[in-house]
Amino acid sequence: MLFVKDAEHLRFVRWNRTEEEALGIDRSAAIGKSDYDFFPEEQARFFEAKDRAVLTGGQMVDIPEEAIQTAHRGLRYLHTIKVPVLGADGKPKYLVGISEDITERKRAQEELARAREQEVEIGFKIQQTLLLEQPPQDLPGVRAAALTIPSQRIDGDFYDFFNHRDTCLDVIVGDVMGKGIPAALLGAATKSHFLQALSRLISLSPPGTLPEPKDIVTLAHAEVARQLIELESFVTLCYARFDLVERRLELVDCGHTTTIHYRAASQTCRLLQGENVPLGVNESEIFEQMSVAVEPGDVLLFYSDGLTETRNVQGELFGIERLSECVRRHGHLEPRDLIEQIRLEAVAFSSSERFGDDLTCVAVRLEERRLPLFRAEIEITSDLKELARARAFVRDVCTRLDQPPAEETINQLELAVTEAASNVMRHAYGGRTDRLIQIVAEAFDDRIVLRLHHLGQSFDPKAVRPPVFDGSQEGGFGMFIISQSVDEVRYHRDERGRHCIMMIKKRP
Amino acid sequence: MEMTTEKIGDVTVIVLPGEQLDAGNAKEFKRDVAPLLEPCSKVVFDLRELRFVDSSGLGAILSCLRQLNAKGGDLKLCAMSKPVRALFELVRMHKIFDIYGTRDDALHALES
Repeated sequence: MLFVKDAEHLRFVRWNRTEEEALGIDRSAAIGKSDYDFFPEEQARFFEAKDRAVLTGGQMVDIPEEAIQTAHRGLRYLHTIKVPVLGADGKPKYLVGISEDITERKRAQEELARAREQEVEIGFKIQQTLLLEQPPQDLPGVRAAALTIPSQRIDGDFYDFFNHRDTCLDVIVGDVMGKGIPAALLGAATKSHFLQALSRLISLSPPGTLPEPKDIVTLAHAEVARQLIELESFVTLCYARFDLVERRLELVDCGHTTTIHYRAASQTCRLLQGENVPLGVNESEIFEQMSVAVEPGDVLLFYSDGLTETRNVQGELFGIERLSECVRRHGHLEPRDLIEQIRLEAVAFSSSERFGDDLTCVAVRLEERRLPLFRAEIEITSDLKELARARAFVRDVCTRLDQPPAEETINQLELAVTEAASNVMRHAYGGRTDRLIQIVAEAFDDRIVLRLHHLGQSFDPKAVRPPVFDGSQEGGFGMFIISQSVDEVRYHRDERGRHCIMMIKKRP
Repeated sequence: MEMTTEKIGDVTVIVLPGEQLDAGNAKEFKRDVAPLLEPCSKVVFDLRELRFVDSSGLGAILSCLRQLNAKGGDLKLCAMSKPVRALFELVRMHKIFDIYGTRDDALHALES
């Protein structure tokens, strides 16, 4: 659209048809009038200021975006170019304006920006819910911990854990090439193919035996290879099985990052690397499996290349040597503390809390397998009147042990079980009194473990506010009391998908 | 919940009933003790029967203290068993309450 104003009074002298249509003002009504006659004062003043700038500057001015209130079409956005036209005396005589309505384009851009933001959000949710569940906490014979630091753009990192009747633990760690929602979805698809392959092969295996990792990988690969090849993507992956009875690690490495094996006996690290290519590279790949002896105290560290490919300001890679040295130094720690040390080292190295790629890391440590000396369980309903029964159960278990704990310890365990069960009844079950809570007590020579299993709402212990000790509040002490009465509290899901609160009291 | 009260001078002594005060009976206790506290300003809770108190039970006793303090009254606790004492100390409530070994000590403290 085009308009011309006289330079002195800034009144319209020309007004073309598109201008008529766009602004809903007839040519006859416009000629001889100024911006103040049609537009809100604030807008008119903005136009006038720009006009004057063009005229005094004597040069073309490009206004990338200006808002304009139209008669029939609401608020529109224009991209306008204003040019001064000089008279014979060399002074500005007219001002010519050419405008383009950019309202639709602007909306489309905003839409696009919102969509991008949403994509990151969705990708992140897929990753957190489908790809990266927390490792199981109550596996006898194994301690596992995982760390994920998502980057701005989601990778398809994933891991999964399968517990086979407490004698074997399968750990899968994978990384999909690519980023964003496609990678996240491919990760989720690959993960579910593995679960499917595993359950199909278990149902075909003779009772009491497990399918070999390489056979599971082969079957899962047969399902995903075609899709991966079509989508021009591939997945690097480690399928590791910890045989807790035979103390062996069976490993199928499909082009994944080198697995680090920390050996507690010699306090050294060795690197385990297989020969297989990633999933989706060669449809007829035959997967090889390696077998390694592992001992209690040994740690296996799996990670995504986001970790080793972290760079410092000089552009150097964090690299496998730095990582295995870090594992060697901290391999004796609890897996979750080891992983925290690795995180700290990577952060210090890159001088940043944020990473270009997702950073995923899983540590699994073998423990001495010990069976409890004594085990008992009861089921109570979620009625607060049942708390007394829960306490009586705990006291009974304690007094039946060959070496009963001190009276003070029994009191603390009674207190802990009461507070935990009361939290479950009031919060997880929202006050309903007809739900079930299973309480399991296990005594080992060095600890007593109490577990409460329930199907109520999960709750975030980190969201609980710290207690106030000045007498001004009558509640909010429960979690604090539990933490002070036992040595360790863990929250996880059990093998049946129930929430589990696990409280550990050490024995002297 | 039935509670024995005894008037000694201007002090009311209430023996907290039962061996346990937990989330299972704390509400009931609060409901039943409130009218007993209503006409009083100086009160002693005798805890000799109690073997177990949890955070809800503690909250109930705390609400009694606040009810009395609000009208310028006073609450003393006495004859606390070891496990109950341990809980009070755990959540620092021994600094909020005046706790006496015997009922006489508590009465004596309220006389002066």
